[in-house]
Amino acid sequence: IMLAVCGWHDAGTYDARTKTGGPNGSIRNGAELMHAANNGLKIAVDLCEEIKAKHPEITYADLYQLAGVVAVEVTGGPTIDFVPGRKDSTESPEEGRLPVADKDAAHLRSIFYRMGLSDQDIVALSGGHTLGRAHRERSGYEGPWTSNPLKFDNSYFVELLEGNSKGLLKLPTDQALVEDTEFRKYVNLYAEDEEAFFKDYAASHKRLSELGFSPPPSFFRRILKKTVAAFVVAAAVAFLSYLYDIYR
Amino acid sequence: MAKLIVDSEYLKDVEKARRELRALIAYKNCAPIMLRLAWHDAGTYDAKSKTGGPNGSIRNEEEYGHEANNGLKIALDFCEQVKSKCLKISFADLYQLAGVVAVEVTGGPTIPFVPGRKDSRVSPKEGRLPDAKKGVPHLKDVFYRMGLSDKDIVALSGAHTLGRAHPDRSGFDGPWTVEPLKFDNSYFQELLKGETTEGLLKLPSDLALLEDPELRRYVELYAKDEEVFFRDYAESHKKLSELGFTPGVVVRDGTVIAQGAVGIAVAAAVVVSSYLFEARKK
Repeated sequence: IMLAVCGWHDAGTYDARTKTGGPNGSIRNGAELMHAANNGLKIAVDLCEEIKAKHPEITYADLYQLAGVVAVEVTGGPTIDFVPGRKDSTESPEEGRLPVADKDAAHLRSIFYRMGLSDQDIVALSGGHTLGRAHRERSGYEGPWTSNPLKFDNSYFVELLEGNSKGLLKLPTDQALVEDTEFRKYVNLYAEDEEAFFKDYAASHKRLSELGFSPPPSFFRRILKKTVAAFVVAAAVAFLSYLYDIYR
Repeated sequence: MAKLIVDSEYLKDVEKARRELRALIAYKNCAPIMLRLAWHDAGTYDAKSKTGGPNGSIRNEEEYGHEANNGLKIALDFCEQVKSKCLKISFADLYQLAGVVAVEVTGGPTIPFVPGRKDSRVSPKEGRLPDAKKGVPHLKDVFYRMGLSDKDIVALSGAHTLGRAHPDRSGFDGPWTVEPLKFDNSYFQELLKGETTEGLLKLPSDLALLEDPELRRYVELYAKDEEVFFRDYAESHKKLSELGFTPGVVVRDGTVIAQGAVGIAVAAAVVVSSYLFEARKK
């Protein structure tokens, strides 16, 4: 779960206008790890160091995003398409780009729209709270959002709509999803239809993990493009010779 | 073995079961016992009589009561939890899928999973699975009877990289490797160490792999090269999981058939038009 948060907090600093921040491994910088929003994430960064030691070629940026993708898959969530190629950066953005838990819908919109994401992304990605828990010594809040915090499913939305009967955690920002009419539409959909949630979540997670990143065309794609071009040229030549033949 | 109809509904159920299994294994840390369940359902196969094998029969009380299956009721109950949410998948497929997922989520190779095994209520007699206290001739008897090879014996033994033995189950005690929840080639590295690492287990049947020169060759190869181990393990695991099972044609709601038909029609049209074109030219 920590690995998923690490990926999210590395990516979530993106500013679409200035094209700064985003999934570039900068979260491993001491200064950025010290931001209040990142309390506790040193654990995840250290876990990733163990893996980086055995796989030196992968960039930190790719490793953190891959960790997020694996965390979702291994806990029963959808398989998210992972495209490698992110470059590492040592420049950390200023504190304050990640959402704060005690705010409201307007705050959520200002943060996520800044990243270039939409209302649907906001709700789908909030579903990531199906995993894990809050810790008093980290965020000041305490406890899991769902009855099985190690299982990725749509129960976050089901619990949101059910109110406070079970004593599970609901942050002010979680509540905001139910109070805002636009957001609530998606909450209702995902509470009812887990497949729809998984489909939207996978798309939003992929988008988040690629903010500011244009995947270079893979080796296979480049070869394929050249092959198709060659084929088109050959077909054109053949067609033109037929025409020449007929009109001779 | 009889086959199921594997249509798109069945395939969807398989994918749902796969995700449920991943979540269950992540939550309960039960990869080793799930892998053992898959192995003990499949490992009863007799290639000559074509009886036993991965057909879900291990869920019969008389079979999970066999001594070799001590403790496996835990895994059967875990699978019941998954089955209650995935109504179409057969138990035979579910147990093998559990084995595949167990290997994958602990860092092992990805083993291709082909669905379609039909369930059977007929349990083979006790005694078909290998005995930990025995040696090479016994191992070869048991595995050759299944239709497997020396390479399979050694590669599959590598699954002891996961889990531990329990005094109240097999009588033996402890894990084989330092990280019993991580799938890697450390089982073979430990096996080749003259002095057994403190706290780790080596069964008589594990040591037997060193006594036979054919088998030992593979032990040394896998200890040295984890990628080769993963490649051979994936192959052997898939073979084991499909003993006596011939995958049928997968019917995917007509899309494949439709695409095939279109392809044939286009090719035929091209052939016919070129023939006509040639004929007209003459």
